[in-house]
Amino acid sequence: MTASISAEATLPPSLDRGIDERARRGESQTRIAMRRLSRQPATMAGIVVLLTLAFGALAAPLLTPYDPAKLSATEARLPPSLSHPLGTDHFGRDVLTRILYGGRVSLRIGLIAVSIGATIGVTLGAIAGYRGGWIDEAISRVIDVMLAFPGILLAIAVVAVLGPDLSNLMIAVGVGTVPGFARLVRGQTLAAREFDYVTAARALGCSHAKILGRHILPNVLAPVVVFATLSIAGAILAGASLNYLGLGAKPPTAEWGLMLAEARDEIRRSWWLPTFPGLAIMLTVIAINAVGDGLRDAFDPRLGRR
Amino acid sequence: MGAYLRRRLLTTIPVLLGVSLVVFLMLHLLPGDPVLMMLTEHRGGGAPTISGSITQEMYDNMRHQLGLDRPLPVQFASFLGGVLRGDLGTSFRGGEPVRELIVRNLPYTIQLALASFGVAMLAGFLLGVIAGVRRGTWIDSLTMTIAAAGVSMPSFWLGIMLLLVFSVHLNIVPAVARAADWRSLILPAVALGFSASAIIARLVRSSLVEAMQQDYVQTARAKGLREGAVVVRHALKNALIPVVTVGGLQFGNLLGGTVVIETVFARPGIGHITVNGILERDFPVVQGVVLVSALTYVLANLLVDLTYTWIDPRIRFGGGT
Repeated sequence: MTASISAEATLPPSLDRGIDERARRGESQTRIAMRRLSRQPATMAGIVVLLTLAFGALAAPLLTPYDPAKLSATEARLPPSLSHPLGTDHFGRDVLTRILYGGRVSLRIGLIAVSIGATIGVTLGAIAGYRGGWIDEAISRVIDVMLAFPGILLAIAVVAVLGPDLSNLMIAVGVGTVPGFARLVRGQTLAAREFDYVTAARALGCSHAKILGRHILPNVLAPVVVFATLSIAGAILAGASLNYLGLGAKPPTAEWGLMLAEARDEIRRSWWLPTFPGLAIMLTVIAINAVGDGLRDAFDPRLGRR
Repeated sequence: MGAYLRRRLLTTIPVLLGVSLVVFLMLHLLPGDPVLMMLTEHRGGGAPTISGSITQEMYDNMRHQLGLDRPLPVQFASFLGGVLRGDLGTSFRGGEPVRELIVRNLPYTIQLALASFGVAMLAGFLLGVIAGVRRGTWIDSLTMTIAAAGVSMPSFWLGIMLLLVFSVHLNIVPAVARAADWRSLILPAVALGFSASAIIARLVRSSLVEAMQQDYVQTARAKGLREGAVVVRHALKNALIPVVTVGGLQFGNLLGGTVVIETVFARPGIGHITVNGILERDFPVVQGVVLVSALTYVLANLLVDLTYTWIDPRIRFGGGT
């Protein structure tokens, strides 16, 4: 994405009007995107929220005096107060502490699951789009079959095969994101394959691997980054659902979905138990979505919200 | 229309076959041995091995009985044959035919999926049209903020919060009601349908805003039509097409989402038996449920495509893609 067309800057001023900012400044597309990004308040807010959440999760032991798993019968079901800002649960554990530690699990699920999904999906999509023919047919049919499983059912099926635990959950959620990546990259690659610079590379005798890796993939990267960001939000939601169902993390792990499952039976006694972990999930997902939407608008202003 | 329909139906067949193959392989990719799992039924956890009261002969007999000693392709053919006859095997736990288990539970799930689909379409459509017509005002911002929260909210959490507010504090809707009682459907349908309605609202809004900028809307205005008629008769009609597609895709998410919502509201249904099936490693049940859900979804999508054809005559007559 280093399209510095600075030569065009020497055009007479009358022709200069139609050329975009990139041409005049000799700026890379990434830098333009970053600059557009910094002008969007919602995106910047999203980044700040995410950084705060990540800091809270990583620095949890320094931020809170409590242990996320230690039981204390005398402190059970305390409503929010100064010493326990978000209250305590039915085992006397501090809810804020558990939410901070839970952030580690949720962010990890989002990042690892999407890395798995993106790696497999991008590879499949790029091969299908670049090679075409029966390989494309075969990969596309596999993707169709994956898309035939409604919603999170594909992830549930994978958990069923691998067995319910946290690392299998990440794999399962990751597999669930494969079809999206594959479809996106296949379409993008199909289009990129026809560009002149690819023909030029082929004429120069580049190998398929080099054309794909050096010339095509970097040019389809922007939509993949946008899609990956939005997928992290989806993966965190799916992960929380599976954990809620008991198909992932096991007690006493501090995990938001699991905390909600435990809170479900406590709603008559302690309103704060189901409220705050859910807000944590929502806040995280809103922030990631805001960043994703911002990236999309920054990379491709034509897709911007009207 | 005939050619399009035929091709659409033809591409559905390999997908259905693929889904059956995946579901069939589920049982064979398992780390555990299904035969031992059946033999050790109700004998506690732990990895089952041939030991104690289970002899090699019992094991071989069971294996033969289940047909697991035959080559894989033969097994797949007989699995497919069974599926076509409606035979999905029997549960490892309790020995009930999986088909009966599903037939007993599926209506509740379909009911919930349809109800939440109704909520999603209705709320999404209303919010989207309001925001689209009042574009750029505070109403638009408010609606779109609600939508942003809606897509970021786990449906099961919304369900718990609805229970907290409407059952525990306001006491309007019973927290636990008989599944046959229609009131027991309200909260689950809203919980499940809300995030889909947010997606639909965004889409209706942007689709409507785009349609409002078209020439035919200008023309309609120029000939003196009331704004209401312009929106409903000209803009909205054309804004509808992408909404149907996305609405159809959302139906699948809702169908999958019932799994979690059923657990929140302790409703009977497919989700309930799926989760139990996984936790108890009762694979014929999981297999059956996954297969039936995927088939339902594929057929629902086919239906959506046909609706699409009906709404947009360009597809019908163009014989396009």
